[in-house]
Amino acid sequence: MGDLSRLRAALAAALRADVGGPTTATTVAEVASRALPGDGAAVTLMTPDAQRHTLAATDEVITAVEQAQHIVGDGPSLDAFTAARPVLVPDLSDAAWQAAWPGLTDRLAGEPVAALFAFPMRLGVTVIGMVLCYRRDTGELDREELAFALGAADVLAAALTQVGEDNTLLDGQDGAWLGDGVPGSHAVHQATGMSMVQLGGVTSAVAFARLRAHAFAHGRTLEDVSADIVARRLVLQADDPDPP
Amino acid sequence: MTTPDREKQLVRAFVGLSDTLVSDYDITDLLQDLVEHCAELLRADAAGILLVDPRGGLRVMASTSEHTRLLELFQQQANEGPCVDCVSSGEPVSVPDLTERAEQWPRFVPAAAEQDFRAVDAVPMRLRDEIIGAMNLFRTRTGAMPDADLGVARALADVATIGILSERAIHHRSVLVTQLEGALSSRLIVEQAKGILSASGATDMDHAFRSLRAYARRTQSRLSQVAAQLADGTLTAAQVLSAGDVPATDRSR
Repeated sequence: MGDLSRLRAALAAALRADVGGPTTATTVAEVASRALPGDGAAVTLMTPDAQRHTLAATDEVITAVEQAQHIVGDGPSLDAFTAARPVLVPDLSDAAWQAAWPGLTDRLAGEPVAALFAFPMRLGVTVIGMVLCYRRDTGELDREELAFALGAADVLAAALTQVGEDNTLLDGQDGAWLGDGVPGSHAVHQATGMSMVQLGGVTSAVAFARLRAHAFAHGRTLEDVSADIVARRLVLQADDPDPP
Repeated sequence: MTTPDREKQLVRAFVGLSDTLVSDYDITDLLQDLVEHCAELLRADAAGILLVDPRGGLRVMASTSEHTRLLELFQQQANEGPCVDCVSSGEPVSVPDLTERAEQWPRFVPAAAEQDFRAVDAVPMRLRDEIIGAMNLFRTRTGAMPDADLGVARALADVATIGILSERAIHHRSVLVTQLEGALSSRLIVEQAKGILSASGATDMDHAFRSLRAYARRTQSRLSQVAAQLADGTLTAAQVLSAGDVPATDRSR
């Protein structure tokens, strides 16, 4: 936990590439995710049509939460994104949350996650993504943590656009400055493209839905399923809906 | 013009300029309103605005007349004249008699005289340390502008400056958001296109990407454009893959 001025200084150092390597949105998000309250945090960007791209995740637990939200297409992060306000879940086992995101809480049953806190990254009135923090134990964030996380999300949003602005002239519209994001995130999009063809010319929305369904039905992550598709160990079949 | 009339006009001018702060407006309209209000209220025979462009030069943005010679006179001040001095100092420059400055501005003074201008004032458009340009008020008679008039000119220029700066800030932010969203979307759709090509042509991702890039270069389009066309079916994988037979050294990604 730090204060906002320390986070700003850390992000400024990342923007000057003082942290080593080329400055990308991924490196900036990694710096910020480590400063956030709780036991771990993730930073995810969203396209206007709500496609996710997770830039950074501090540990396997928060990675699992992000993957679960991606598969079920639901959860506090998406709610924070669409409502443009924080979603605070001090006790995930509470019946209200179970009812709000039934698929998600089921999938997270084996993970040591007791509380989740999602904050929108805002630029003016536009939400460009969200940060998500988790706790192993139940309980609210205290006032200071809450104020810090709220501010941090907006400071990070500004820093991410700064990386974009610094790099626009360098790599044009290609978006390489985004960096690689968390491992496996590109494979999901590649596997979606492959499945568009293999399912007989369906749209990316349909292909991605089938990908999610397969991962959900087999209790696997999107990243694992995608890696199999890209490596041609798995082909989703048009006439073969995934068995439960 | 009688005093009550002038006051009414002044109020109208201020209300008109501050309206631009709350509603959708065009910066050209704002500046045009400003020069017209100023010329009328301050009894100037011509008025114009020069703004600092992104490269630091001065550009004519509005003028009470589109007369070519007048515009040339304004634009000439990009090099010398009261506007340059005003922008660099951030303070008003008053010239009650242009003939006295003939040595200082050897090109500007004769050009002004040619159009019968005898006196000129330049008022800065600034907010705190930021100077974004200057407003020019030309008169065909010599003599200083009354202090009260100068105050009015500065006040109107201040309101317009705030309007311009806030518009720029909003525009800047929305450009940043658009860039970020565009970069993300194009990144995702390029990965997806690699998948489409890879599955269609039974090639690996690396070869798929090289084909995509070779096709984009050949057709002089952006990668993300080609990728989007692949996704919506306006372009077939075969068309793109046929462009992919490129040297294996071309692997910068």
